[in-house]
Amino acid sequence: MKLDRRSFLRTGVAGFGSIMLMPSCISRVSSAWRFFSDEEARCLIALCEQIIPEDEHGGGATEAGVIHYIDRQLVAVFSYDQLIYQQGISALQHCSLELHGHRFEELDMDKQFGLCESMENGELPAAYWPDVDQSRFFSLVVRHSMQGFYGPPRHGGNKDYMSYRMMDLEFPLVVGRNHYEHLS
Amino acid sequence: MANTHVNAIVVGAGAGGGVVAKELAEHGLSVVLFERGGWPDYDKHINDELISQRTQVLGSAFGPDHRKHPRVRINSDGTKRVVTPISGGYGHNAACVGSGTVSYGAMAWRFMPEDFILKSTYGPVEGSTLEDWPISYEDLEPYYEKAEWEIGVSGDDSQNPFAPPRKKAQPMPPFEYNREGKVLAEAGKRLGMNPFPIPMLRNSVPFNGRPACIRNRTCVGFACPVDGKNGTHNTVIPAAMATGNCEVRTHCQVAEVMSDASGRVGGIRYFDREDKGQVQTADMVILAASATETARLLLNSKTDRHPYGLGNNYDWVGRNLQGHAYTGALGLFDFEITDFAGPGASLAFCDFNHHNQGIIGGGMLANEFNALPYLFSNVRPPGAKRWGREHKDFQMLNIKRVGGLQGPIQEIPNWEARITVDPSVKDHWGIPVVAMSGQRHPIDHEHCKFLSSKAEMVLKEAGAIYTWQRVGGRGLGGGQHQAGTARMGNDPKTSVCNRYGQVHDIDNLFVADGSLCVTNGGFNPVLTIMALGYWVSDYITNNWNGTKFKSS
Repeated sequence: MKLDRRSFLRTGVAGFGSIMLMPSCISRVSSAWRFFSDEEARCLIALCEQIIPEDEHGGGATEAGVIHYIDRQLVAVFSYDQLIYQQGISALQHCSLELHGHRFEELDMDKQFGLCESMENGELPAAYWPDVDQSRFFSLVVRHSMQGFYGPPRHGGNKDYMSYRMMDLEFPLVVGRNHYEHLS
Repeated sequence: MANTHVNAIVVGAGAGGGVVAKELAEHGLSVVLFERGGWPDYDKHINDELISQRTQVLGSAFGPDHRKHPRVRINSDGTKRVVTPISGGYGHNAACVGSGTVSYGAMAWRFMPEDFILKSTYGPVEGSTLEDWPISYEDLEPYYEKAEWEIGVSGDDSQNPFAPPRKKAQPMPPFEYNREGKVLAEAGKRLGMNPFPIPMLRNSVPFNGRPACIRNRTCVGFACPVDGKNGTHNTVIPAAMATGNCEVRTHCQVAEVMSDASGRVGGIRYFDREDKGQVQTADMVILAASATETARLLLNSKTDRHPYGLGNNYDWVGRNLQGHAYTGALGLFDFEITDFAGPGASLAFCDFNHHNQGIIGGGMLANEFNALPYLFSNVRPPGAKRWGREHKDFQMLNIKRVGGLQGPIQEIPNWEARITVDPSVKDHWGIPVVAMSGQRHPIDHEHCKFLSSKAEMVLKEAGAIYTWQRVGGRGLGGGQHQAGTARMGNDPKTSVCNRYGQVHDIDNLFVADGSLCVTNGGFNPVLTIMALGYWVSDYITNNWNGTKFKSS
């Protein structure tokens, strides 16, 4: 990838974004959860950040507010998924504590990533997952994270169209041809 | 207060029903056009990918309402699950005035002559219900022309050597290719193929008092903000209303067609917008509610004389469900091949629709409608990571660098791919819902492999640095291209309707939607459904003596 002025600027934005990820920020917004407990939210925020991490392109799921999207939909359109979220988060925490001695959100990124890969492949010890299929839970969180990160901001995620900026897409979605300078 | 008796009831204000309502109203018949949804409202659903008609994550912009319209999916092992318009597996089609024609990509294909005589062209297929249509391309040709001119098509068939014969050119010039279209057209030419611009039910120039298309990025899945996309909601349905003979009754769910002891139909029972049970009587009823919902209505209309539902004496209602397996290939380019000029699809090839060695039928290939960001998050080569850094990296670097070609494969219909009703699952109004079961004929998958390999060949020639195929599977058809569940035929023992869409043993009950299609072509079917609307209407108006329907 060539490093032009635009990507340089984006890298700059990403650096600033990471400052916003300090834990104080997270606990400040936690009073607003509609569905999750603070404890569940901390775990899920870390899980979503693994699914869409902050990188050289810019911020990840945490900064985009993916958890806001999921939290909001779980008391609306996705109410039938409430149980699988509660059971899945609880099972993941259980695994994390037993296997690594810490809660999932306290693990370093590599350990979190390893747990995610195992969960995706259904390889975490089955005993921790009596109520919910681990790979089904993981793929659900993946799907919802993608929706929250790449979908329109009006549903709670993709804060200020940040994913659109990273893809270098016009936002809000353009009506009309005026922005398409290359159009024949 | 009882509803005033009318000449004709049309159920469903989509591609077929809108046309019928207008034709009948113009001929002086009084018509009530029933629609379970409302009028489409662009402002309510502006550009929201998660509520688009294409990606029904949080709802459907143009219905049906996921809280009111469940269906049942019967798995191959006999177990069943309840599905909704947002749960997947629903076989979704829009429920609003205009239906899919409000939010479609608007490809305006005429089927080819061979598409009507697939069985006699290629011979019978084991394990299928493959049959010729009782009407030919020549029969339908004038009605295709009428659809093109009254609803509005941009295109130029002279660039397509495989185009079926026509008497009159399409009314508007074709659209230009977008960037992807240009690149792939050149590649196709180098391979000896015949690229041409896709005919579209969109305005390339101002037409019928409405403006030209603005190449909106969010076209397919959405209503047009400038009204440059042509559906029945902004053409024939307003024309029907302007006659003074047609009332459009929205937010009404039709429960059953009523018939008397003689077997003729006399009206419908429905629930109005306040969920109150109502009756509307009429001299005739025309069903145009889509292949799934028309079949459901026929099956739910049981009487002593029709114990298995109307038109179902020989168990053909709901059979032969089709809906197109989409198949093709994608390619990653080292430059930005996508310019997001809407709707995205602009280029087609008909080189693989017919007469390819070992293939029965085939399918058109076209470049794809624009993938919005969430949709694109599912576009990855096989084996690529579905999450994490690698997934995000692909998204950021490649959303404008992936091009593709795909098309709808001509399906070989079969008996077990079907619609039934499930009496144990009811919708919001207590009406038994659609149950879908069966799968595609195994030969479809072979045909898909053929078309995907051709698509991949073009992408490689175009210089893609990496290509991969997406091959259509055997999952049950349905969705926006749903067809075949009340097929027309000459033999009442092997079809539901005659060649005019008239239910065989009920002279005042008609079908005018994709249900009629014996086979579904290797094309998007909407223009064929519109043409069938005109064809059926022509028969009706020719047999209307001014005050009553001439019984045959």
